Amino acid sequence: MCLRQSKGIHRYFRKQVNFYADQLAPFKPLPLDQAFPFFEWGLNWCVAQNCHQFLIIHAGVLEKNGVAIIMPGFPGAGKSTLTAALMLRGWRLLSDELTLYDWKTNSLVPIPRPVSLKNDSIDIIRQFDSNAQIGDVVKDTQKGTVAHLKVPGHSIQKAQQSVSPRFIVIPRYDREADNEVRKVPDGTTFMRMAELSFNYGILGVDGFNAMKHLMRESSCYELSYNGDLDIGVGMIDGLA
Amino acid sequence: MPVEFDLCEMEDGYLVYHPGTGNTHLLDNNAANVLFLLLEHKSLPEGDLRWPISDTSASESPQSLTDTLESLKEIFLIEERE
Repeated sequence: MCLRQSKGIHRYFRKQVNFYADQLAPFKPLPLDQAFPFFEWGLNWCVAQNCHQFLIIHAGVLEKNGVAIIMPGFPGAGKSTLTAALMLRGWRLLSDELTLYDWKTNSLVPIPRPVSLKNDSIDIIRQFDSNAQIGDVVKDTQKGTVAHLKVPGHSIQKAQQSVSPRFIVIPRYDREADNEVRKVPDGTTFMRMAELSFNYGILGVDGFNAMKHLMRESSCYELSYNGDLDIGVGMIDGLA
Repeated sequence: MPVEFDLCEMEDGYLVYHPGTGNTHLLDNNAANVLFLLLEHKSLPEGDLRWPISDTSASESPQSLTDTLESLKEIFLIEERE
């Protein structure tokens, strides 16, 4: 897996970069200044395409005191922002994008790397923690403006340590909403998680059994918050 | 027509996985009761399915039993025996 600068005229004019996986370029080239986010997206794509020994869900996953939470996120739900905030308040990051669930061992496998922040989230996280180390801001990408937040050392040092699932917390950002955590039924959560999985359908009956097992091992909640990250973090701390 | 399902009872109904299509459905308890009726007939000697539409044991649902049956037939590709 690598990035290579495009050849020909784009080596000198409107410079571009290509992403390669196993010598193949599955995507169209992007402007050179988008190289870092391109690498992140390519890495996610490789994991989602190849790691079918796991049930892969589009969700952040963190751990504190041995308690793991999975935060599946529909666009705009605030999953990445809340994940970043929890990480900055001491939770260990396993991933901000890809939950890898090994149903044979009932464990969540870490894949920590810089947290992808998009658009308003970048300034929100800057204001939330002035010590947050955020890399270059890249504008006009397919996901808008993006930047990456450095992961604390303890998350990297524990990258080999899996953890059992305990909570599934579905965040719902709504400026008008009351801040609350409420229990949600596991059947409905199953269906929402399946919708967010990259390989539920590919795994067939194994996917069904894996998701079923994950539901059996987890308590499911929905978290509504009005954008106040301290409150959001506090409510999740309360679960742990 | 052989029909196989994986079933799982959840807090808010039953999950049904249909290997033939790879689809998963969350049925509420009323719809699940109708499906169970279908499944009970799975073991008929003929090896296919019939359902007692007039059977009131499953008609406590506020939904139309016929409509529920039609939905289940469509979802799970169950063919009615002529």
